[in-house]
Amino acid sequence: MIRFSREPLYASLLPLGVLLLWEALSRMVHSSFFPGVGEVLGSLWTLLTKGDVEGIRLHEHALHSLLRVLGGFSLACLTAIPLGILMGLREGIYRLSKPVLEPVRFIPPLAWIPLVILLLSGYWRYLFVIWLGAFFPILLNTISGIKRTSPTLVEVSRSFGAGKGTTVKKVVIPSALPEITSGMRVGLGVGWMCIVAAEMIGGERVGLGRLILKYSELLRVDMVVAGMITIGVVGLLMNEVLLRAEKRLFIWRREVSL
Amino acid sequence: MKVEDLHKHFLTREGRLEVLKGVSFEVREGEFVSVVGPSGCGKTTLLRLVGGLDSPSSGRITIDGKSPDPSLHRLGFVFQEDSLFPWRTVWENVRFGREVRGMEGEREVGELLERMGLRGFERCYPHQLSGGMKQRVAIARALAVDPDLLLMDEPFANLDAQTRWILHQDLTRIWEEVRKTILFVTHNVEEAVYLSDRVLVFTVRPARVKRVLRVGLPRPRDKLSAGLVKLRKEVVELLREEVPYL
Ligand SMILES: Nc1ncnc2c1ncn2[C@@H]1O[C@H](COP(=O)(O)OP(=O)(O)OP(=O)(O)O)[C@@H](O)[C@H]1O
Ligand SMILES: [Mg+2]
Repeated sequence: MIRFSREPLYASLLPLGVLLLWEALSRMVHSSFFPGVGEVLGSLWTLLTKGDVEGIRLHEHALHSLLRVLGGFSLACLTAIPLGILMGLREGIYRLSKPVLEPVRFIPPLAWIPLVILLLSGYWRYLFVIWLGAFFPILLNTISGIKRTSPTLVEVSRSFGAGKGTTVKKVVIPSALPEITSGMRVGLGVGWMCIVAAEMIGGERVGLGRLILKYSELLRVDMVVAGMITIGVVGLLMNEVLLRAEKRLFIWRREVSL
Repeated sequence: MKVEDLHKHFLTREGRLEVLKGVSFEVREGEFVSVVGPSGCGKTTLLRLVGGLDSPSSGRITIDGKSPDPSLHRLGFVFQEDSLFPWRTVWENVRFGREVRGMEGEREVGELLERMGLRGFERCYPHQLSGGMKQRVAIARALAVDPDLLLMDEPFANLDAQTRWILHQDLTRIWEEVRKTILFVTHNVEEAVYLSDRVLVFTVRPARVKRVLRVGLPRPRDKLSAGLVKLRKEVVELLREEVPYL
């Protein structure tokens, strides 16, 4: 007998409810600053087909933002992973750098913006702001992944006469890899969330953050919401893709974290 | 392998913890020797010292005349706790030591898996295996480097009686085929007398060798034979002197 799963039905119930509530509220408020569902969908369509006031279309905005985020994210991986491995292996380096890293971690990317404007220019501005957002999740996960390596597994390696380097390569890093990867996923997400801040100061007119800023000046809330939704959806898709890749890559793990 | 007047203490927060206090014994090449002793007396500590994973406070250990050094001697260590690499398949786990030592050849790995009854499980990950299977893989991994000395730390402690029994027979058979020198730690007396050529009985901590018993019965052995039962009784009596409520 074939059983139809009811799960998709239930899963779509809540978003549907949210949309209905939104539409109802917007009709009650009846203000141009509170667009309804239809209006926003219309704006999304306009952005996709005709583009914004300057004729730049939605996918171009998304693509530029994505490339900037990937740039900053790559830089974050290249710096945070080696540093995290080093700090995870050497307690001394970890303890020495903690008083510097910990306060910096809590400075929001927005707070850096005046400084970035003064010190950096061009593409470096994007890179820096996104790097800042992505760096810490990756670093912290890498450190904890390395530190969490089972001492027994390290001893197995030693008992076969493996040197320190071989043990790190064959035991410590593979065992930390799931945590490093999930740090990368979280880092990419945070980096993506920094896109508006980064594009506030990057000069170019293209990018999802730019799109939102542009229309907020024009008081076009429908367009702003359309931009927000695009950021949300792209972020969600990236996360899903990476989550699936993780499950596949780390099939040997019984559980995969969220 | 020779152990002479071995002492080991740990410095803990509570102070100096004397674990081994003058342990001496010898294991000849190809011999199967068991160590039994009360829980916490220092059996794991002894194996770690013999395996070169830790260094003695005083005294001497020599393997073929040299101090134990994992990069010098070929050792196979089977740990008390779960020790398989969860990200490696059975096959890759068994290859691990060979990779580290730069030993070529996949055929040996295959033969070993066959002999350990692991055929068909080559591509499984540890979490897909039963406890008994995992220990088989751990033993295969240790044997795969063709070790001069096999150190086994209560490898069957966490298994049910039946699985344990099967593994005893398999280990005996394999040992007869490969004739490795084995130092086997356990607190299971039946296991010790069934498997070994000699049994070292340890005292409570700080541990010394209390008595050495020669089993001297031909294999295959019967666990319920009069000879083995008598030896078991003897060992239990000795342990009772150490731990009265046993
Ligand atoms: N690195 C260490 N630092 C401090 N104390 C230790 C250390 N390793 C072991 N000990 C102590 O040494 C004693 C002997 O430990 P060991 O693990 O050798 O016992 P064991 O005979 O193997 O016990 P079991 O039968 O429970 O496995 C214990 O009291 C333990 O707490
Ligand atoms: Mg022990």
